[in-house]
Amino acid sequence: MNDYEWVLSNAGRIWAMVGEHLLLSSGSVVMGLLISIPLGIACARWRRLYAVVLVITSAAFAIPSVAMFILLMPFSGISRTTALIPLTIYAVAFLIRNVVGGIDATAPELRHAADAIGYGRVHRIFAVDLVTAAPFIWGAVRVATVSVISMVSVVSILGMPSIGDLFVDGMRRFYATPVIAGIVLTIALAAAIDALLVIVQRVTTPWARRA
Amino acid sequence: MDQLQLVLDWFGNSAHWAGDRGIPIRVLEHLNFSATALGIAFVIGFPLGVTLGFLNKGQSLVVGLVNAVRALPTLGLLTIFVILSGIGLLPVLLSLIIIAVPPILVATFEGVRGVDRSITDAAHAMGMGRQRTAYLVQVPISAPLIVVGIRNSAIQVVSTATIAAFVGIGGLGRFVFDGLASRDFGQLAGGAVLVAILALGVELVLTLIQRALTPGTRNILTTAPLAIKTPNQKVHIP
Repeated sequence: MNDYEWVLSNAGRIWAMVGEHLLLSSGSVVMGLLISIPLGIACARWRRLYAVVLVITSAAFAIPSVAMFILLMPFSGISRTTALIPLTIYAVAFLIRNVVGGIDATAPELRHAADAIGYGRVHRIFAVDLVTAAPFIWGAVRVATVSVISMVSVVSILGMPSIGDLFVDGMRRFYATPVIAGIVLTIALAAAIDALLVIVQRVTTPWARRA
Repeated sequence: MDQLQLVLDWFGNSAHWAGDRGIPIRVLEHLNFSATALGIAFVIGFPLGVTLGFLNKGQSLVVGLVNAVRALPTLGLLTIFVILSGIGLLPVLLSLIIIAVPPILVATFEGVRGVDRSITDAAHAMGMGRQRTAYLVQVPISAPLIVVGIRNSAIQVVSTATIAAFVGIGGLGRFVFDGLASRDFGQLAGGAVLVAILALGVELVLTLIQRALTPGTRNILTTAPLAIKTPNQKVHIP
């Protein structure tokens, strides 16, 4: 059986892995975003909180994902929750600096103008600060998504499904085809999602396009 | 909790601390091949970053390399090298080096390139050549940023070195994978705790070095984060 046939005959199984991989990576980036935006708004306002958040996220970022998955297993078993929590923490580590950096980059004149025309504090954050921060946040979402997609594979070591199953399978049988297929699929998935994000970014932040 | 007791029992068993499969030896193994890979990656990434930085060339190459390696699944990289060249330290080191070069390269490149023009002009005016200016002026000025790059590399390498046990090499990952294979939660989680402590220790030491090299700052907010430039804006990476 040649390599191409192997991929074809396992296409159904591989497709399911890609689906699960996509679910875990997009789920963790979306959750990371849902945490990072309110947390970033709070951090931009209270710098002491920001210092604490930065220390925690960079420490969490240093802990290998495999260790986090294992230490969560007594609580959430071998489940999507176990996979999603560490990946979400990594996504927050990527996003938080850029949410805060984007809000900080808002020109004071814009804030004063918003105040002058009677925007309340909450209204101003959503209509001015977050809009100025949007290109920064999108940039970080792209980097976080590509990183998380390449990280997800590790969950397969612990028996959770992802494209990483192909690496585990290849290692067990010392057979290169599934491993190469897995690497190609991971990179293709990252490239496809990144291209999609670029389009969404262009549509939602047309003013940020390079001149 | 039963599981906590299993982990405590595993740590409490003196047999796990002795011999060439004991915890201290595994820690040393882990640090040994992490440091080797990091050292080699520095020898590759640092001069390349300095050279491209003072020539102010190759930005798309540097950014492209960083993004390409970011998308590579480390587990797949390790597995394919081991399958192609057989179980051994060499394929593992090669994967670790590939992962470790980009953060060092991009930090050095951005650091050297970002030094204020008036400073490099002054160095040239004093008769320093480009190379001397790069290594004696631009590198010291950008040292804090370069250390951030080394820190990022070290974190990636220590983390990936854990998975090296998956392809049959020693280090702390050994406990994790042996624990998995024998369904021994004490060993599995004990290994995970050790890996986490080691990673945090490495992070702490390198953060302290970074602070020491950034005079006048005791505040994490004022230490320069590493940023990579995308077509639209800079993206800070943790």
